[in-house]
Formats: sequence, structure tokens, C-alpha cells
Amino acid sequence: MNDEQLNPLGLKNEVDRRAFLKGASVSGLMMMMGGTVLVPTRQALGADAAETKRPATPPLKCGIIGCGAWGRDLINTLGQLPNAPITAMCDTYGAYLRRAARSAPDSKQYEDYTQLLADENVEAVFIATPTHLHRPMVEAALKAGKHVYCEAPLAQTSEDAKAIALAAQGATKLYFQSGLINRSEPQRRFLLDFIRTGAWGKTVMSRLQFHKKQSWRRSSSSPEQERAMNWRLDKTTSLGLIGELGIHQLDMASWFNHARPKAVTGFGSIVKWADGRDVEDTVQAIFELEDGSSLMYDATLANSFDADYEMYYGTDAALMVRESKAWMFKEVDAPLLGWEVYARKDSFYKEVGIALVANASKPTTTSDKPEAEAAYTNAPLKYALEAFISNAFNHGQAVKDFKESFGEDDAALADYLKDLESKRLPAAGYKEAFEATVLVIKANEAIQARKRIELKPEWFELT
Amino acid sequence: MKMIRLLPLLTAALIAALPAVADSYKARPGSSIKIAGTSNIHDWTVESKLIGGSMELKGDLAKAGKVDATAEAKISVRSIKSDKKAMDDIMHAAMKVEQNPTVVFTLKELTAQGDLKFEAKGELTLAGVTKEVKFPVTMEKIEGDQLKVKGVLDTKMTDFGIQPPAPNIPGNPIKTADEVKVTFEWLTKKQ
Repeated sequence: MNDEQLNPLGLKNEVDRRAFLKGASVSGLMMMMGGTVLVPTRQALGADAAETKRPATPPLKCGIIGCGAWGRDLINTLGQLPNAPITAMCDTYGAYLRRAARSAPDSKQYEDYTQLLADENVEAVFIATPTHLHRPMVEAALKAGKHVYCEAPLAQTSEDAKAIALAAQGATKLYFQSGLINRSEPQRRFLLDFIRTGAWGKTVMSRLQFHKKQSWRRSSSSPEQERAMNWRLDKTTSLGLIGELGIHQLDMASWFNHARPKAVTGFGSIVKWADGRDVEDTVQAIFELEDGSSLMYDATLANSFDADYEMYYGTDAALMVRESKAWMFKEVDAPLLGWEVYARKDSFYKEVGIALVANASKPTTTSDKPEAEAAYTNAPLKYALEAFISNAFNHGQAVKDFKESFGEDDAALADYLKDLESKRLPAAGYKEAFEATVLVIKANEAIQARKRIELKPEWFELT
Repeated sequence: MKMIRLLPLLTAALIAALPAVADSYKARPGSSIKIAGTSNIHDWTVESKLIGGSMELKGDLAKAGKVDATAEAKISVRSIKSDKKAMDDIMHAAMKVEQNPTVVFTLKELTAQGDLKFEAKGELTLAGVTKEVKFPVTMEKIEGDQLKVKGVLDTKMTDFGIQPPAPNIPGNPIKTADEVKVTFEWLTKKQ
């Protein structure tokens, strides 16, 4: 991973976490504990192994709405793809727009998103505005006949999230993808397959953390603009740490655990950044699952130790996921899987981790260099955007082909498109995003109220 | 009374004397085409559910002999897919999808062999190359004025100037066999 790449949450590493991990944390932890790194082989990933060399789909003209830090990351990552020309961008803040335009000088710039949506030279729209502004933009974009990529969380309220999901569901002729980027990452998909084999035994608990010492505050010479830029620090517009950041890790946990929590209890406080904000800078939430296991999430902007990672504990093994790498730590009484005998091992303090890596089937070596070579080294965002461009083009093409073959037949077209869903590049759609968004909205409510909330199944239904 | 008895015969004779009217059929959803082949690592199949086009048939299909028929079937190359996105991309590139986005079959001759079994001869245009092909087909009448045409064609990729894909995956080079079997079911409805 180079310095320009993003962490699994799509955030740039402001703190020198990598040096910390390399110099002390990882090798130290590895030495202390000992784990097996879980990384996919290209063979294990099937024909997709050829993805880096395969021909790209034809270009899809892209428009960006929201040119803040995340919007600019989208622009820069799209710029790395051969088939994603940015033809338009929009932001109400001139400085953001001018800055973003430097990365796509041929694009048309708008201050009003409705004008961008009216631009016939835009086929797909990326919505990277503050969470509470998504709904009207997504609805208008779909109405304008554009494919939509909407950042996660979908919205700040369950009502808005449901409206967005239903709009996406109803727009059968258009492709919708959410910003849950980890769902597209090949290594995480490999891990999912591994987890589904039941290698960790019965799930005991999961633990997710995000630690980064930073204010989350942005500054501007204009007080009005500064207020708008700091929407994440205001409870009326923000879902807090668990919503704006935790959604990615919690979505992964729900995916890996294959279960939606049945209740959540939350806590939070401002311990470091008492600068007028009302959004907590440190939060904890405990989720209860139907199978009796629990999931703990904690996030803080007041301490950086150990950064962000996920731990999954089972009766036979524990799994640690850090960025795109993973290690398995087996219990002494766990059944022998066979392959792990030959897998690479890394030391973590007093434990030995089995590396789930591309070279996992090579003869055993014990190493103090846990940064094993991975088969896939792109940032999750790049995989997600590749998936969006490819899937949106193919979706549009399928609609066109169907019409040319059979004319107008909306019911048969819907069936045909449904059948093609399994042939898409992996990505999170409106269903996954709605589910994850409602989960973090309720978790944030629990944190605000410092109470336990039972998660009712009907809150997650799309009707 | 005699006239009344003769009326059906006269009517039948009159109808027989009129030129036969062709039945027009148009493609509708419910079709499928499968292309199957093999490689040094595994057998493979790609498929599409879109077969567009139309057909005109005149005369008694159950009677052996030449059938007065015209037909053109079209398939979008991009609609032909496997379960692997990477394989699709490689296949579409091999079929030169950018320059030749559609596979077209134009019927030239249809010979009935009885029991709704036929031999079809026609031109198949694929990847910009047109070749004459011949293959057996059967027809099945389905309720709602629908006609399903089924057939199988054995051919080679190189007949159409397509080099069998050989993705260069390090440590695992793939070699694809030239021969492919095309199986289709084309659902049409009388207009």
C-alpha cells in the first residue's frame, strides 16, 4: 500500500499509522500473539484473477455531486480507470469545485446539481455530499435517468434511507450502487468464503474498532461555509462516528456473521474535542445477536492506538482483519484443517497466526514481516468504482439489448435484469446499504440515549 | 340440397386456389442460447436469453420438403455471459464486440423432414465473418400462437476468425479448444 492509498474505511491515513504498525504494533503484536494471514490466491478467486488484464467495458460518462475531500477521492480514483471519463462536477462551494476541477479539467462545472442532472453528457452520477442531503439528489438523479453511486450511509434518517432504497428498487432500468466499498474488495470476499466454511467454529463474539486522534473539524474563512463543512459535528445532520465511519465495519461484521443484530446498547461522550460540537468524539456500542454472540464496536477521535481493525472470535479460532490482510489464530483443541500446516505463519507476541495470504499454500516459514504480499493491492474504493462502471454499463446495455430484441415489456425486462444480477462484479446495492444505514441510525440513537434498543425486523423491511 | 353438400368442397377448392398467406412470428422473451466448449482446465458454458428477430413461414410445416420460409435471428454479443465476469470480458474481446456487437443468422433454406423436424441452412455472421452453416432444428407449437424453434450447431471459433482465448494467468496458462457446441431455443409468437 503506498502513501496515497486509503484505509478500509476509505480514509487517508493522517496519522503515521503505517509506520507505527510496521515499526511496533504489527510485528510486535505478531510476535506477541501469532496468527495465520488470510489472503486469497488468484486461483482461489477463480477467473477474476485475470481482472487486472481484462478489457474494460466501454466508457461511462461520470458526474460528481459534492467535491469535498471524499468527492475528490472519487474523482482521483475514477481518473485511474480507463473507462470513467468525468464530464461534469458540482458543488455549492466554489473553492471545492475549483480544486476538484484541477483533476478533471475537461469537465463542466456546476453549482446547482439539477443542472448537472440535466446534462446529457452525464450517464452516471456519484453523490458524495453530506449524508443528510442525499435523498433529493438520489431521487432526482434516478428520475433524470442516471445510474447512481451514493455514499454510505444512505441517509441520516430511516425515512430518507427507505425512500432512497425504494427509489433505487423502482428504477429497474438504472443501476444503483452504495458506497459500502469493502463489499467489492476481493480479499474480503475471499475471507467471506473462508468464514462460511465454519473454520472458526461457533461464533463467540466480534470486536471492531476505529481509533484515530484527529479533530474531524474542517476550517474555512467563511463562518457560514465552516458550519456547512462541519456537518459531521452537528447532531442534527450527522450520524456520528458509528454512522459516518462505523457503517463500513459494521456492514462487514453483519456480512461475515451472516446475521443482523437483535438489539444494540450504546454509550458516548466528548472526552477530547470540547470545541462546541455536540457529536461525541468517543463511542461504544454493543450489539446482541440471535445466536447468543455479541459484537462490540468502539471508536474514538482521542487516541490512535492500534488504529482500525476487526476481530472475530469463534470456539475453534479467532480471525483478525486489518485492512486487506487477515490472520487466523487457532485454539489448541481445534480440528486440523490440513492446509494450515503449509501456510505462512506470523508471530504476534505469544501467539502464532496462520496467514490467509496468496502464498498460503507455500511451505511454512516463520517471519517477523507480517505485511505479506497480497494478490490484490488496490484500495477498496478502486474495486468498488471499477464494479460500478462495469455494472452500470452492462445494466444499461442489457436494457438496450432487451428492447431491441423484444420491444417494451417491463415485466419480462425486470425478470431478465434480475437474472443478470449474479453476473455483476461484486458490489453493495440499495438493500445492503439500507440495512446497514438503519443499523447505524439505531445504534446512534442508542448512543445518544445511552440505552438498549431492540431492533425490530420491520425497520429493515423495504415495503 | 346438392349445392349445400358441395359448398364445403367448393370453399376448400377456392381457398387452395388462393396464394398461401405467410404466418409472421416475432421473437419474444423465453429464448435461450448456450455455447459450450472445453479448455485444459475445465469445460465452460456461456449463455444468453436474448434472441431477437422474426420469421415468416408459409405452407404445411408437417409435410416433408422445402418450406417457404424466411428468418433472421439476432443476438447481442454483450448479452452472452458466463458466471465469471473476467471470462465474459475475454470472450467479448475475442468476438470483437466493439466492431461487431451483434451475431446474426439469416435463414436461406428450410427443409421439412416430417414431425416438425427440419434442416436449416443459412448464413451466420459472427465477429464480422459470415459463414454458411447447416444444422437440424425442431419446432414445437405452444399455446398462445407461439412457436419454439430448437436447434444444435457444432462449429469452430476459427471458422469465424476467432482465436480460442488463451488468458495468460501466471503459473496457470489456459488453452481453450477450438470446437464449440451451440444449442438454442428460440421462442416466437405469431403476429
